[in-house]
Amino acid sequence: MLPPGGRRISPFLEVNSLRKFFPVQRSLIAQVFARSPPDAVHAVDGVTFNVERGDVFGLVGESGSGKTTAGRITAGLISPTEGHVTFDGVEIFSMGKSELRKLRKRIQLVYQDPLSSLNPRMTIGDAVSEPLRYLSDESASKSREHVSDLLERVGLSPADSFYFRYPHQLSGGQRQRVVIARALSIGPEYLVADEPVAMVDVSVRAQIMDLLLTMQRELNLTILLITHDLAVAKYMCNKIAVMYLGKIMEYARTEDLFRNPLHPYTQALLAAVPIPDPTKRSLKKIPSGEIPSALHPPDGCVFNPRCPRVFGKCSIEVPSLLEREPGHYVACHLYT
Amino acid sequence: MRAVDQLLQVESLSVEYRTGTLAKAVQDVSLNLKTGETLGLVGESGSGKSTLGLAVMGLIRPPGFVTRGKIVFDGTNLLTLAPEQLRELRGRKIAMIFQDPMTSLNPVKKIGDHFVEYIHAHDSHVSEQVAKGRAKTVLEDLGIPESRLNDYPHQFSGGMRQRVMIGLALALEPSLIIADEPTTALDVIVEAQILQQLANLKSKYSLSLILITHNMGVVAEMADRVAVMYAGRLAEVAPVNSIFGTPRHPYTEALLESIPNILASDKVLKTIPGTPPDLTHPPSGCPFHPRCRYAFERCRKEIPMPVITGNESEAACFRLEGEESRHS
Repeated sequence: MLPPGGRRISPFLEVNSLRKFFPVQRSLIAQVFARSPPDAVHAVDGVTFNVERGDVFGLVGESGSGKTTAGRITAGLISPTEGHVTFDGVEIFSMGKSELRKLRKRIQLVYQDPLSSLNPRMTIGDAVSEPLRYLSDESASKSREHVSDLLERVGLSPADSFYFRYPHQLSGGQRQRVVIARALSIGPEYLVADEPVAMVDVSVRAQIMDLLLTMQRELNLTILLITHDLAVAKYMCNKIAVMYLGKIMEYARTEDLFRNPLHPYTQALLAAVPIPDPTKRSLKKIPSGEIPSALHPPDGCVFNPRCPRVFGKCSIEVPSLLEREPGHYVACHLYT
Repeated sequence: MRAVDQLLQVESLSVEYRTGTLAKAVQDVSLNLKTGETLGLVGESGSGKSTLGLAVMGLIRPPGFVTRGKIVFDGTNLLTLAPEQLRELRGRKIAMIFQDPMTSLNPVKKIGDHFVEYIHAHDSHVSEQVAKGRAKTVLEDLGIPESRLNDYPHQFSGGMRQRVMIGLALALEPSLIIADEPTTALDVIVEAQILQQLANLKSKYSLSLILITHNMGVVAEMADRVAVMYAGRLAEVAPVNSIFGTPRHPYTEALLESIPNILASDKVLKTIPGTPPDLTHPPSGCPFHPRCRYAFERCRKEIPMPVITGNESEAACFRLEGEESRHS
């Protein structure tokens, strides 16, 4: 079976059967007397997908879905309990130190909160040139030029007026531009953006989304966008994987996912999104309950306790992610 | 004269925070709320929407000061009441729901005891049994079984905690609820569940609701009328269909063009240049002029006053002047 995302032999980013369990700390007494193995949070539980070069790939889900953990693993920041991540043909987690250092130049991250991602005592110029100092051999004068050019590119213009300022002197949107400029300074090919607009003011969100898309086009970046916001994912991504409790429920090209959502969870998620159009108000069919604890995920399909279309098999057997329509994968017994 | 169906009238209200630098959080805002109405109060961070909500609750504390205006609730100007009179009114007549329920609940107190304490604070004659009975009724309306009255806040999920907060707000059967970003911290499915319950409870308890939010989707789903705030001032107020269908203030118009919508097909978003202003250094004239696509000379110098743009609608923009005569 071909994994969702790509049909070529070696895609740009290949994520295969990824699992990440975080063990739960137990007291010494519990450790000594426990009869069962220690509990673990099943943050990511068997995730497979491929990202092609130039994709803006969305990992969408509610809190606790495992989207952030999966995203960080693909950036090589945390190692998986099981599974493989292959970046441009090379397995990330079997790399030596020098190889990993080279990889760092090719992969960068943008986080949700620009204020906590920036050192308050470091000027904007120093922050943006920091990756260059550690990872490149560029001379100081050349890097100054490079940083000014980058600041202009991300819309912090004129660059000279921003270079010696500090993060607290900028607005939230400007700070996120700095974070993006810093991530791009080293010339990465792959950018993991974790909720890049969630903390940005509503009137500034479109600017930041457009900036990321422009940079993607101009620099031929591949972006993994982690978000809980389906409208943001729809605007930015060409492919989307919907996650729930550590698993991919559905994966498709963006237009197919929104036109024809197959998984009952995706359908519920789409129905729940508040629509900024009062003429489209309707009584929504919303599943009850909340996402269960990833400490003891339900047997069978993880969505079965909340699923409006649950039947016998769902609580027993885990559905596999299968291609239902060309390029459209769903993990649901309704379709098997 | 007060119209019979007006529950709340805010008149020329100004609030400022004096913390070294002066921040004019709310400036000259006039607004009213009819009995039974849901008013969506929208704006970005720093727009003054939360400060306005706190002012109606009488919860502006130093370094915050109400410097001007009136808040008339059910015929009484709240700003003239003594603190104990105001305390009597809060909870019993007006209650508030905040974004983060965990900071509002006492972690070492059972959910049932929160209700007993809250009800006792307003009426010490109510027995514990009666108070718990009331808790049981409201919580059942919110889908929380009686058995959970003996649980502690940490045993509840985020969504359930917010339901408890709504239950507490309803416990004394107030006529007005001010909900400040009540679902912002929640996931989208739980958000939809709670908004639906809030809408149902509103009719069951014949409530009026001020829903403070930055989310235009939530407003479109819930509000009868919408007030849009920007940099401490009221930019526009109108019935929900007018706000979304024919926005009159350039800020409302630009904001609606800049938000993605999952139902819109391949819509290109128009971005608003710049960022919301710093309230300690507000721009001259109309606070939106540095970002406004229509701004002209006068906008840089003078502050526009609200212009009546239709039935129950007004917007503060110089471009709309001259329209007033057609409507009045």
